[in-house]
Amino acid sequence: MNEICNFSLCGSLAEGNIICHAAASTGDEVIERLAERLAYTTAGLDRDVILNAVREREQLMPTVIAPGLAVPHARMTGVDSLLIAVATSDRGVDFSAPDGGKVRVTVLILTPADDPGLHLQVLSALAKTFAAPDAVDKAAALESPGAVREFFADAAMEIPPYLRVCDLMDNNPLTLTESDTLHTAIAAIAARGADEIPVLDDEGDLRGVVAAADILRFSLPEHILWMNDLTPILRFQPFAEMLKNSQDTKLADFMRETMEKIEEDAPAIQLVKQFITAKVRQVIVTRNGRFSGVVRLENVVRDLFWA
Amino acid sequence: MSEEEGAGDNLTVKSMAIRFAIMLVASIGVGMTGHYSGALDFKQATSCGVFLAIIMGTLFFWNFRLAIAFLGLSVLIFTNSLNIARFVTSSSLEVILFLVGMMIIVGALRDLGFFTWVVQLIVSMPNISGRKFIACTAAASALLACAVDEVTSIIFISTLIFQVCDRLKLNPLPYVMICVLSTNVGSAGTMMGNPVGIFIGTKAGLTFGDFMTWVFPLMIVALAATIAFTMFHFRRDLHLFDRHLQERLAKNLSLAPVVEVPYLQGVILLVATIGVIASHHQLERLFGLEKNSILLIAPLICSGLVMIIRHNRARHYVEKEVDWWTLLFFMLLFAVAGTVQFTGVDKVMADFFTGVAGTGHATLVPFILSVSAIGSAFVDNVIFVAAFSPVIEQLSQTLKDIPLWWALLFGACFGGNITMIGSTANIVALGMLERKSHIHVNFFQWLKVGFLSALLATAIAWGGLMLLTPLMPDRYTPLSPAALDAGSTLKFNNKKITATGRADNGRLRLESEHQAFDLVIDAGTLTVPPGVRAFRGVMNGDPDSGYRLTVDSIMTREEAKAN
Repeated sequence: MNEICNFSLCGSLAEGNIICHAAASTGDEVIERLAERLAYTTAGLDRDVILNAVREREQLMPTVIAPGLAVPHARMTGVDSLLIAVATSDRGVDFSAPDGGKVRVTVLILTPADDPGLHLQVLSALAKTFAAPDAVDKAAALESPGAVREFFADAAMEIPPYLRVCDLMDNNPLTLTESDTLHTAIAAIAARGADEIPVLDDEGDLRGVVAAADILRFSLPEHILWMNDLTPILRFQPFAEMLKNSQDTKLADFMRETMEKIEEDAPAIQLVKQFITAKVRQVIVTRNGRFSGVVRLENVVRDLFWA
Repeated sequence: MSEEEGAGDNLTVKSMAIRFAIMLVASIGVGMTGHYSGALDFKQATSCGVFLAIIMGTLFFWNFRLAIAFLGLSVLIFTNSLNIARFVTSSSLEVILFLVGMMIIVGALRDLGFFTWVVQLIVSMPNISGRKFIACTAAASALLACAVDEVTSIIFISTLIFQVCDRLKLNPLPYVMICVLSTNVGSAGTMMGNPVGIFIGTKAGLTFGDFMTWVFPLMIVALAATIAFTMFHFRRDLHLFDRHLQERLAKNLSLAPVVEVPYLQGVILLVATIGVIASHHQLERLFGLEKNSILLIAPLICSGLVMIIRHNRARHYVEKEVDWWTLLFFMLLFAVAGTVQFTGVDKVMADFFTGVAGTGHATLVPFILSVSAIGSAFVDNVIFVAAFSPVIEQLSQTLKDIPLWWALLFGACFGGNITMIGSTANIVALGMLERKSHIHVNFFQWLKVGFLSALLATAIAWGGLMLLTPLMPDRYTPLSPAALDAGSTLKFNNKKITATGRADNGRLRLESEHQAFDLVIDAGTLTVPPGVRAFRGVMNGDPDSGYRLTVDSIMTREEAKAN
């Protein structure tokens, strides 16, 4: 039987792994200092091994998950349980954040290599705690490791008991509205490489999706697909007619209303099952029926098996 | 290919239990009433009960119909109302194989682009208008049903309607209904149009030519009336269709992309199949084969060739294109219906029919038409035709049978229009409508149009049959001595029969294992040598006045067998 339990982040954070007012100026320096601490306080862990693993992950994409907060992380063999180290900075350090902002709180997370979901659960808990606008500043201003640990304890930062869909989803995906035109959708699909774009109404409710496959299907309707072999058809101008009208065609008239959906609190295993059985590359995530975000197959694979 | 939904889906345990109880009580009740009233013996009562259970089972639990047929067959064998040998002979394997062959051909036609070509012909017709488009689509749907079958036809035609309505932003329901109603009418036109067509053709020994001579013209008249009526009924929707179409055409936009489809192989396959089927009677005579033997193997010849030529798709055709679920159901149904004949229920029913509707075509034709139409409106028409066939075979002993078979065919096909569950084509089209357009049709919404169009088509069939009955040929029917036993109520009125017996001094003695019966023979100028002879002639008379056979020809027993 699966045993599900909540546990606190604070329990995995030793005072010895907290550095207040770190003097480093770059993210890499902060990571180095935190890796040293973890190697020093944890038997069997080597500083360089930690650094290599974390830097490899950082190269994939920066781990700034909120303004002023970076969460470098790695899954490692030899790590049996969650290990956390925290550094704060007065002036902030450069972590190559997309918005160019400085990072004032760095939380280094190491999780066991055979637990693909734990770091995502921790990220989810951290994102929730640091969602308040002044939370990062408050933590950065703390004077002692004991105070930082107390901050984490007071925030009741509990790791979710299981990996949920929302831990894997993209909260801010590309969306279109019903009044957008087919031309806009084609541009978005072609230029931004989106497979399937959610279409929302003016209230932000999900109305449908428009996908690259739908655009192809519009030009190649079912009665042509009845034929098994289309290779004898040499003269075919698939998009000519559609393009004639694409500036006038509203997405409300074009979008597909059936799609793969899942509630954000659902366990991630259900999401994985949906990807397999429905053979889709993207699932729409809802919160109480309203649009919440999307999960892409490649992101799931990356987050679960690589990140 | 089957796309179906129906009774039995999403039922609560309570409602299932109630339906099951009704089915059980009704079938056992009918069986026991028949038995204890003295009308039926035990085996007859059992077969009636089981048959009723299957009818109600398909009505209440559409998705469980095969399971119900399995169990019904088991009950019949367990109660000795049917034996295995009789089951095998009654299951009409030849009809099943014919349908298998046609389904494989349909799969190949789809692969070869034939249906895509038909759809494109309709979409790219010159000077297109809403009325013209719908009239042509409905007619094409009916004729396609004649050539392949109604379910295949409606799947392809509905897809076209959805495509066009999607482009024109219209509710497809009225146009789908016009086409479905036309398809059901068209399905009566040939023996390929509907499983009941080939079943009747086989049971009655009717040829493709018989269908083309007597049924197809009447179907065309009924089809024209149905299209005209439904287009009048949905005139506002057609007006809207016209408006949207003109707006789209004004923007220089088409209804669907048109591509050059290599359709020739598909056309050759269809023409070859229909050609072999159409000429089966001549080929059978040429090669001295049994009646309808080429008819039944024609689809097997063509599908066999298809599977050789397209050998990489052969397994797909057999596994995916053949609707084994339905065919297995038909096979069991035919076998259960065979029990009706095996136990003699057909004779009881034939007596009942002649008691209610008389013995003349003027009353029997409308009676059979209306009973089979109303029955087919609620349960699978194959069930009704399977149940009626033995009865008509009984009636054929004393009456010209061809008009009765046509009445059964028209009733079963046209009756499917009455309700939304009346035919498989209706169920398939409405299922597609629900899935693709999220449109639900209620029972009375369909009934309003379906009933009137069925009434119109059936009235045309009735009038046509009344006009044509005198022109239809009578066929020599073997007379069995058992039919003329002491309790017989059979009345003959110029009925052509064949009879084999011992001729002696102006009388003919018909003998079977347990019975013997004498009748008067009038040989005219013919000399009747004494001994066992086979006679062809015209029979008249009833039990009170006695029976009289006016002899046309005399044969030895061996000659009769050879004929």
